[in-house]
Amino acid sequence: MLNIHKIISQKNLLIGGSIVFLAIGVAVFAPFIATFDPITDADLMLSEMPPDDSFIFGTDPQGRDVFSRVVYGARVSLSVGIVTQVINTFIGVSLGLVAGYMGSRWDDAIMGLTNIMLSIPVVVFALAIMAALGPGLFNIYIALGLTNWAYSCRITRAQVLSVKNSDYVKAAKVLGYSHFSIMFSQILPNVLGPVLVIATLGAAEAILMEAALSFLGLGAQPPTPSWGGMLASARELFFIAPWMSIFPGLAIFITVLGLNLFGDGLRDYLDPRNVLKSKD
Amino acid sequence: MFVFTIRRLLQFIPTIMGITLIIFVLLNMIPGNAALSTAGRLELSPEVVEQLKKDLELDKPAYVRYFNYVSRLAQGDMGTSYLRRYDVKEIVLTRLPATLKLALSAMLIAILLGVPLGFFAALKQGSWLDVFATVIAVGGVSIPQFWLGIILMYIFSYSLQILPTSGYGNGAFINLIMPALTLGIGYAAMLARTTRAAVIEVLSADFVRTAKAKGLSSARINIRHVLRNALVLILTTTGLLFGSLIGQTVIVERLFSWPGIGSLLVESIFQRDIPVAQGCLVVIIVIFLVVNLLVDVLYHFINPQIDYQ
Amino acid sequence: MNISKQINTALLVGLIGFATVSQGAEKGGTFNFVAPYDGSILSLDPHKTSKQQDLLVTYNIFRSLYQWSPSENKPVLELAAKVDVSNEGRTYTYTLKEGVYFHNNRQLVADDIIYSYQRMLSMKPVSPNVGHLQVIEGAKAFEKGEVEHVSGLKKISELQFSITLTKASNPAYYLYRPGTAIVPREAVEKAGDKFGLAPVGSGPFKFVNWVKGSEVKLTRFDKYYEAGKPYLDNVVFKIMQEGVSRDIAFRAKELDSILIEASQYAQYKTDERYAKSLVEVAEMFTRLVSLNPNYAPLANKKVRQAISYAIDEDLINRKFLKGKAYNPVGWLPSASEGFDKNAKGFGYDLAKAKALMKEAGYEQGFPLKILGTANKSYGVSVAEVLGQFLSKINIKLTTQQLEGGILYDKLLANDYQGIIWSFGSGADPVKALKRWHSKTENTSGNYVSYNNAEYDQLVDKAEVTSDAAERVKYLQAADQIFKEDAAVWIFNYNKAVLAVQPWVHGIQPVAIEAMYQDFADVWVDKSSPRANR
Repeated sequence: MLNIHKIISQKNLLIGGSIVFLAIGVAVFAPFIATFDPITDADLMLSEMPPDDSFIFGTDPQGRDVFSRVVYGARVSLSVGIVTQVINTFIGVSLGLVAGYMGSRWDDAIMGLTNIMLSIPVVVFALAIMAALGPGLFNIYIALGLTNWAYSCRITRAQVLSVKNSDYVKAAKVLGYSHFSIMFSQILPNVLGPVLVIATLGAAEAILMEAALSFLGLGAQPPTPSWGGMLASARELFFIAPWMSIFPGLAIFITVLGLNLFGDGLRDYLDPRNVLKSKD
Repeated sequence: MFVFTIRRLLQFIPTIMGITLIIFVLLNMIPGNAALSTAGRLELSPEVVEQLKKDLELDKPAYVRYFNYVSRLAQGDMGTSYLRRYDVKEIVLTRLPATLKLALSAMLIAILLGVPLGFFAALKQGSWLDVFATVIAVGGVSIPQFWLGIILMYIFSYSLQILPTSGYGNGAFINLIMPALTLGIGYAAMLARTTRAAVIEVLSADFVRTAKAKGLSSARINIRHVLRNALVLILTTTGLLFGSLIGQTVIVERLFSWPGIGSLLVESIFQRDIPVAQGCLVVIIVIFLVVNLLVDVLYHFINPQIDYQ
Repeated sequence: MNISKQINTALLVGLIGFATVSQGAEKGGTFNFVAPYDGSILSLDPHKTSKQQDLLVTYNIFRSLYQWSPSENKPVLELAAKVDVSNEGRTYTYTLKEGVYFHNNRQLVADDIIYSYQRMLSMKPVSPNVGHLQVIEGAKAFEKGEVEHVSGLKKISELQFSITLTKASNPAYYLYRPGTAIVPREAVEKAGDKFGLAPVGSGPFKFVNWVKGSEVKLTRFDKYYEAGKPYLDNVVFKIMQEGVSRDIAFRAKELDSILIEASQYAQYKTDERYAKSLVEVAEMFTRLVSLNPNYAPLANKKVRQAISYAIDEDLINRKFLKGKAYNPVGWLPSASEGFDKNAKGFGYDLAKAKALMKEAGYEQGFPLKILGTANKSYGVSVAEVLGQFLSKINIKLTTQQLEGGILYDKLLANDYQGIIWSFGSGADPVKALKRWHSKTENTSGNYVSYNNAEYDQLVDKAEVTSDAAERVKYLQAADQIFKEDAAVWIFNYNKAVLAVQPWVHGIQPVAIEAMYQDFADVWVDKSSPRANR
């Protein structure tokens, strides 16, 4: 049940939610907001123009409109955030359910794998995958989607363990419900809240990770307009053509800030203890 | 306690075995010819390339190379770098102190900034002050690292000219400030978030309410009960963050020319110097595991009632 | 005495032909330079590395038999005082300079030359620079372990030795390489694997220390053989991969000279503090798009020519690369001996391009995918710009960015349509053109399997002729054929630019690699924050 008063009292949730909502709006309506095509409207004669009336965020070295690229960049960055978290959450929750519910050997194996995943730095994992597959948006989904599921796995498992021996689940077993339906109907709803929080914060992390990979030359495939890629390619022009870094940089900052605030607010709204217990 | 530690140490073995396998597969999966990369992409005659492959054992099948690698590793031998042509252990270990120094300082900054910020936000939960503190904390984690680094460098090295732009400076403290700050700010934000949540949890606990009912001053309650109890969780998070920090220093190291293990790792992946990449990863992972073990032991020490069965 | 020393120095400098005014060269001070390429320095053993990042340091610790002369734009004798050629241009007899010492104070003798080359040839794993020695007779047999000594290397006396080549050619172009530096046997044998960590050479600077991943520090060698040199007390090479960090550090006066990127060039050009002292050099690297002839449309010469006409490389070089490039007229770059001043490139002619496409039957165009690295001067970002031009002749361009190692694999495997890259096109013009000889295996440089009998003939003639003027004539004719066939699309020769602080003197435009600076000739005046006071 949504508690309207509680939502309003959670200022983080409210501010973060508005930012995320706005960013999604920009991504969805990009063709209507952008003033130029982000890729094909390129003209060397107009390269590196400072912001003016027709190019409100200026142009890049290829002579493309930075504003339009930032607008379309919302699609890339948000899709990185969303797709990777869908994959992460799916893997994490499935493995967590199996580990917690089946116990014994399954549990040992999955928790062992989780520990391994936690100990190998995500950036290294992603780097190796990106180096193997080559830069590109789809490969980023895979690289970041496969590497950051350990937290949601742990949370799910912890939740399952606490619900498993409840009378409710025992009763379901006695009534002859299958393992599968018990997991889905009884256990899953309990873990959704904390997992959603993890996914929101994870989305923020993934957007920054895309920027970091771009810095290392392994981000989204150019000429795809991604914020991280724009920022990375403009770093040498930081003082010469600052508009090329400031706007995509701000876009990342605001969006990630929004997601983080939203995630924190969501956690407060749901109950801070849930998330905490499973993180230790 | 002792038994627990020993058991956890024994668990390292299968974990490290699993990790080495994953790393080996991952690194060998990357296309790009190590032998050619070794030759610096000169236009070499095919015979020279074949000779190189043979000399570097690259002509052997992957499982043989893995077996050789693991058996050498078990004896403490990390192999020889393809490109540097000397002992990997030495290459990696000479870079380790710089990374540890950077990670420890970043963690210290994170603690000094993050814990008070989170504590303060929790006490005023839901207020505009809370929002303000959260925005600052979250803002720290929302800036792309290299952006923050460039801005700091511009302000402190170029405009004010009070800090050196980059380099290790033979270990001078002044060289450490900016890299540590760039790395630490993000972690401060994460720590602030954990602290805030931990303090909120403690605040709602029964003993705090009892203390309040007893009429103890709120300052005393906050310090004596709340902070002390929240400390357990903060400590755990710090340990976990520190463990992962070692592997996250790449960008800061590259930007500030900091001679750490993170940039070495990324470089060796790009150069396909697989023995060095493996060496770096093994060291990073062992540190992670050891730090986690220490955290667990410490946790056990503070909270003996925790059951590890 | 002071005056005579000055005259001596002036005379010496005059003889060698350096442009620097050395009267009044001040002694002392520390020079902070950069190592700007791909990350850590790997080894300071010149025989074990072929990376420019490493060799730009070893260049100042070691000396090779020959050295590149920036003023003459070719390699000249360095360790030897004279050389006699006999045996129809196959045997070179050298007399070493007296008074050349290694940093361990032992004199450099003929044995050292022979030892160094044999070390390279017998090294396991094989030295990446071993290719430079294949011209020496008997090198192959020695490498394979069939013989005890390289038959082409003979000691005559303490300071005299001879090198016999497999065929008549000029060994200077091989033996000037920093990777063929001369090393002292006893130091190598003492250090074993670790020689590259504490190198001992005969160059102007001695090794002091190396903070791995951060910097290498060198200090002056008092027994260096050039009188009065080096001027500097110390040279520090700081490893700085990020252009933006170098830029800030240079402007904060922490560095005395840096390599600048295309994106920063315009800024430095207009900055009156630095504009006048920029050191610009036409480097011997030619930037190109390899066009794979196995892709049907690209097998057609007219299509390839149309591509060349359709793209305005001058506009790209001026606007996108900010003028940090030279427009091409053929494969050989402007600094090359074989460069043809009167030759012309394709230029920009859209009408002609359209006509050629029509003649070739590709009026409707075709899709073209160009692969490249993330490099800003010769990577996908440049390829992206081509789309603006190619769309006008209906070629639909897409680009894909790949990591260097993977790209190289694709190039070798012929698994591409177009690849944008930069290849060395110096220093020896014959060797540079030999790349496109049909006998050169496509994995060893002829990546587009270029095959033109007329071209082959001209290059072969250039190789055997002993007349310098005639050689240049053959080379230029061959280069024009190659250009006309448009087997690759050439878009520029690199202009490398070093920004230099006003107090620095003697930084040279080195065409083989701008970062190969010989610090024996460099000095700083009193206004340097690191001057000797």
